[in-house]
Amino acid sequence: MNLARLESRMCFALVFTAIVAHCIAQHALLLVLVSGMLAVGSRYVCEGPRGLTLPRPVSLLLTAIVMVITAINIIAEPGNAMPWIGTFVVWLTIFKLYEERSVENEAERLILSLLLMVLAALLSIDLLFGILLVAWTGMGITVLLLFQLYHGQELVLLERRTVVGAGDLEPSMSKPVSGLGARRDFRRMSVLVLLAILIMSGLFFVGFPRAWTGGLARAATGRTGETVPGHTSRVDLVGGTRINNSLLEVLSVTLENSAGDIVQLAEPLRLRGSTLDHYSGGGLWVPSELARADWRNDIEAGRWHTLQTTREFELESDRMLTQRFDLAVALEDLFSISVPISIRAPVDVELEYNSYTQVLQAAGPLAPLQYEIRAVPGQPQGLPAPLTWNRYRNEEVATEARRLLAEAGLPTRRPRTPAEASAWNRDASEVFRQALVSGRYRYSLDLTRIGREPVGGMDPVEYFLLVDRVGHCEYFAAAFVSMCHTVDIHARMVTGFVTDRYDELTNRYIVLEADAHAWGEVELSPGDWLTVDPTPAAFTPIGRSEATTLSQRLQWIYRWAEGAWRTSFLGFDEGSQATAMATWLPWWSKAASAVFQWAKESLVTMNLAFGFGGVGYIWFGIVLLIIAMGLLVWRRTLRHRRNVLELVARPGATGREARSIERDLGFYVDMLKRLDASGFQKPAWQPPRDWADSLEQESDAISRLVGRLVGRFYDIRFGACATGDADEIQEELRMLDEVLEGRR
Amino acid sequence: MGRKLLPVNAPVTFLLLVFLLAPAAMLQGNNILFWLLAVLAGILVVALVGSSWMLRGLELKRQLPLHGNVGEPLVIRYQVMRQRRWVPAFGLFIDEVFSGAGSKAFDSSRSRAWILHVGPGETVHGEAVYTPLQRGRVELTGFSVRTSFPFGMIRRSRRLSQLQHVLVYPRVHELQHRVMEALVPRGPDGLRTARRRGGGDDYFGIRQIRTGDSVRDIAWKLSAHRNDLVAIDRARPSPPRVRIVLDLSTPTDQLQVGSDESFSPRELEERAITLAASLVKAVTAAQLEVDLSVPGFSAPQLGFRGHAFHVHRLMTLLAGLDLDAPRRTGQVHVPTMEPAGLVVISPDRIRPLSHRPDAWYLTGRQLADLVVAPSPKAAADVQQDKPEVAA
Repeated sequence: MNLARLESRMCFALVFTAIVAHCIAQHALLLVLVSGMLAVGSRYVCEGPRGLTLPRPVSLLLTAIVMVITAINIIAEPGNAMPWIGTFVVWLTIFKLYEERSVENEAERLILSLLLMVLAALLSIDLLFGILLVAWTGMGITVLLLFQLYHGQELVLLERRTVVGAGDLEPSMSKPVSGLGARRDFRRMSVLVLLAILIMSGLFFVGFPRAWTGGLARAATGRTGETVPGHTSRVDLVGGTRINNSLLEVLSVTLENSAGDIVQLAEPLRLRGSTLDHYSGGGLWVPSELARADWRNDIEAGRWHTLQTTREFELESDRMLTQRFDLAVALEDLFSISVPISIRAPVDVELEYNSYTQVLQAAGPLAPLQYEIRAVPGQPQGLPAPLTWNRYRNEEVATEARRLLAEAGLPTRRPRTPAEASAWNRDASEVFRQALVSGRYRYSLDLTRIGREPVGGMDPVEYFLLVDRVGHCEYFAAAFVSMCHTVDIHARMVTGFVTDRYDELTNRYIVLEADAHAWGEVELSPGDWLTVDPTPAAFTPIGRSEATTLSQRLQWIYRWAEGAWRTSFLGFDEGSQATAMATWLPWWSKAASAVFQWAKESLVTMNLAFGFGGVGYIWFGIVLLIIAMGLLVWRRTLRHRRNVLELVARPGATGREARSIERDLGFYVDMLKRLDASGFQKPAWQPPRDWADSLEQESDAISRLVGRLVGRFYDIRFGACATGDADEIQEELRMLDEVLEGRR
Repeated sequence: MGRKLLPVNAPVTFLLLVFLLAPAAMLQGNNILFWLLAVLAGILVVALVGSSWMLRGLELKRQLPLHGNVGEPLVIRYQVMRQRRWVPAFGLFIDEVFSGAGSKAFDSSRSRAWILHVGPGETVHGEAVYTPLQRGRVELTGFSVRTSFPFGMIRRSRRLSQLQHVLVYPRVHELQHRVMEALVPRGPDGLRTARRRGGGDDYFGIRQIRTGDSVRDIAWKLSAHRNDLVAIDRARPSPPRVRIVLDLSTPTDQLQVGSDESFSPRELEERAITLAASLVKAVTAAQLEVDLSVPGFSAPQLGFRGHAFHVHRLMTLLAGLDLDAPRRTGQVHVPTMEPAGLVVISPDRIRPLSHRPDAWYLTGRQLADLVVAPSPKAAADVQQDKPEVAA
C-alpha cells in the first residue's frame, strides 16, 4: 500500500470538495470556477513532474494581501462578513495547496477544509451542499484514518534519519512494515468505521434532547414564507393572467387514506384555491363580501385543528384523505381537493376559513410551506348562499343565456319548487357548459391579448361570449358563471390547479404553473354545490399537458429530496423529535408487550396442560432458572474445553477424546487463568517451564507452585504418566490461589 | 530531532473543534453543525473502541541481535502476531521500556518500531533502532506497544515484560592511516611462515605427487634418487601479529589525572578501552592476527588469531571489563621474544616496559588524535568526550 500517494490523493479530493462545497454554499459561480481550476492546477504544478511549490514568504505575502482585501470588504459590508471570511479561507486553502507537501501542511489543509465546511454550513441550507457535506464527511473520516498512518510513517522516518543518518538509511528501513492485504484490510476497516460513525451520529442527532438546545431548527426557516402572487384571489380578464405553459413546480401533494396508505386518484386531482362570485366590472372577478372569514385562528405547530365542527364526523369516513402539501413558494390560499375539514402545519401560523366559500387562507403575510389538510373527496358543500348576492348583469349575455336555454327546451326562468329548481339548475348549467365546449369557442393562451381593452368598450365577458369567442380557461369560467348569474343561478368561479401528473417514484402529485386552471361551481340547492368545468377538455391543463421529460422528472425528484432535506433534517426540532419518538417508541413497546403476552399465554397453557395449579408457576420458574444456569455452565465448559484443546494443538478432537484431554490437562488452563487474573500473563512464545522459572523474580512461592504444576502438565502431556492425581492437583491449585490472594 | 511534527496534537484539535462547533450549533440553531458535532461524538466513540481493539489479540516477542556497538545503531526486532480472526491492527508503535540503569544505556534519540498493518492471523516483524551509550551487558526488561489508531485521539498502550540481555561492544573508531602504518610490524616482527601446509614460498616438506601438482613442485633430484615422483610441500604464510596490551592494572583512583583536566579517570579508562577495541578492529581488518592482554584483570589468553569469531571474543572481553572490580596491580608481563608487534595502551600516561623497547605506547588521552572522525556527530562525540561508561 503506497500510503503517501493514497493519502495525498484522498486529502486533495477532500480539500477540493470543501472548496467547491463552500463556493456552492455562497452561490458564487465565478469563485467555484476560479478556485476549482486553481486547486486542480496545484495538483499538476506541485505534485506533477515539475514539482514546483510556492515559497513560504510568497505564500505569506499573498495571504496578507487577501486578508487586507477581506478586512476592507468586511468593514464596507459588516452585515456580509461571513461570506467574506469564507472567501478568505478559500484563498488560504488554495495557497496551502501550492505550498510544499509535509505532514504539517496536510494537517493544516484538513483543518482548513473543515473550517470551510463549517462556514458553509452557516451560509447554506441547500440540498446540494448537504450532499457534498455527507460526501465530504465520508471522505474526511477515511482521510483521517489515512493521515494517522501517514503521520506515523513520517514520524518514524524522521526518527530513523535522526538515529541512523539520512545517508546511511537503508531502503528497507524507510519502508513501512505491513502484512498481506493491507489495502483490502484498510478498505474494510474504513467502511466499518464509516458505518459505525454514521449510525452513531444519526442516533446522537435524533436522540439528543432538543429541549436543551433551544430551537435548533431555526436555520430551516423555509417552513413559512412570505406570500407571493403566484396564485391570486381574483381574476382579471383584461389586466393579466396566471394561466401559462410554464413548467415551474408550484407544489406537490401526497394523498394518504385513513389506513395510512398512499393513494392515487382515478380522476385528475383538482385543487380548489379561491372562489370568486363578485363581478367588479371590466373583467375583474373577486371574492364577494360574503367571503369574509368566519373562522380565524392561530394554528399551533404539529396539532390538528378542525375547521368545521359540524363536519367532524367525516373524519371517521373511510373515504377521508389526508393531503400533504409541500409548496415551492408560499401562497396566500391553501388548497384542498374538496371542503377542508381539519388542518395541521409544522409551524405556528395564523389562518382564516370561510364556511360559505369553503376556502382557507393565510391571515398574515406569512403562509406555511408545508401543511396537511384532511378532506373527503366529493362535491363542495357549505353554507347556503344568502338571498341577496352580487350577480353579473349584462342584458346581451342574459339574452344569449336565455336563447341557449330555449334552444335546449328548458324554461328560461327557474321553477319555484326546490326540487324542480335544483334539477333546472343542473340542466341549465349543463346547457351553458355544452355551449362553451361545443367548438364555437376557441381556446388560446395568446398573451398579446392581455391588457387590450375590448373593442367599443364592451364588457370583456360579453366580448368573449358574443364577439371574439377566443380565450383561456378564465374566460370560459367567467362566461359560464356570468350566464348562470343572468338566469338567476347562483354560481361562482373557482381558481386552483388541475393535474394528473403523478410521480410514482416519490408517490406524489406534481403541480406546475401550467396546471393553473379556473372552473365554475353551481349551487344546485342551498349549500349543495356542483363543480362544472366549461373549458373544452382538450384545453384543460390535463389535455394540454405534454409527456414528462427525463429532466423534468429529475428536477421533481431533486426538489422532493430538497424538501425532505429541509423538513426532515434541517427542520428537525423538538416537535419532530417528539413525533419520531411517538412513532417509534410505541412500536417497540407494542412488540415487547406482544412477546410478553405470548410468553404469558404459553405459560398458562402449559400450566393447564400439566395441571399443576398455582404452584406450577413456581415450578416453571425453577425449571427456567435451572435451564439458564445449565446453559451458562455448558457454555463455560465448552469454552474451557476449547482452550485446553487449542493448548495441546488438538482443536479437532471431539467426543470422548476431547473430554479425556480436558479432564487430564484442564488444570493447566485453570492455572493460567488464575495467574492471568492476578496479572501474570504467560507470553505465548515462552515455554511453560521457562516462564515458571522467570516468575521467581516476582515470587518464589508462585514460581515453585507453577513449576510443580507445569511439571505435572509436562508429565501428562508427553506421556510420562497417564493421568495426574486429581486431589494433589486441586490442592496445589488451592495453594496457588492462596498465594495469589496474599499478593493482592 | 531536527524538527517536530505537528505542533498541535489530535486530542487538542478535537477538543477545540468540539468547543467551536457546539456553541455554533446551539446558538446558530443549525442542524448541519449539530450533525457535524454528532459525527465528532461518533468519532470519539469509535476512537475509544477502535484503539482498544487494535491492541487486543496481539502477541509480541523481542528478537535481539548478538551484540551492538556503543555509538552505532542497534536494531532490535519485534515479532508481532495478530491472533484475531477478523480484525487487523494498524499503526502500532513498539518501544523499549527502560528502567534504572537501562535508561542510561541508550541514547534518548531512538527510532521506534512502527507496524503499519498486521492482518488477522498474520505475523510481521518491525525494527526499532537504538544507540547504545555504554558498553557491557545491558538488561532489557520489557517493551510497550502503543497505538492511537484510528483517529489519533485516544492513545492506548500495553506493556509486555521480556527479560533479555544484549552485549554492547565498546565504541569502535576508524584509526588514521598513519597509525596503522606505524603499528604494522615489519622486519623480524613482520611476515613469517606458519607451521602448516599452505600456498606460500617456504619449504615445509615432501610428499607423494598428486594429480594437479605443478611440474615446478616436483623435487627432481629427490625423485631421481627415490625413483619415484616426489613433490615439495610449501608452508603456509602467516600474517604479521600484533599484541595489544590494555594496561588497566592501575586502579582508577590512582591514575594521574590533573584537577584542571577535562577528563575524569574513569573516562580515560573508557577511552583506553575504546582505543583498544578500535585497534582490534583495525588490525584484523588489515588481515593481521591479534591478541589482547588486559593486565589488572584475569582475562583469558586467547592467542593470536585474525578471524571474526576471535574478534568477537576479544570485543566480548573488552565489553565485559568491570572497572569497579578490584584490580590486580603489579608489573605488566609481556613475552620478551615474541615475534609480534606490541602496542601498550594505558589510560593516563605511558609506563614503558623495560624489556620491550620496540613497543608502541598509547594513552587514552590520545584517542582524538588517532582516529578519523567519520561524521561531524562522531567527531563531536570524540572531541567533547561524550561520557562512555560501562553498564
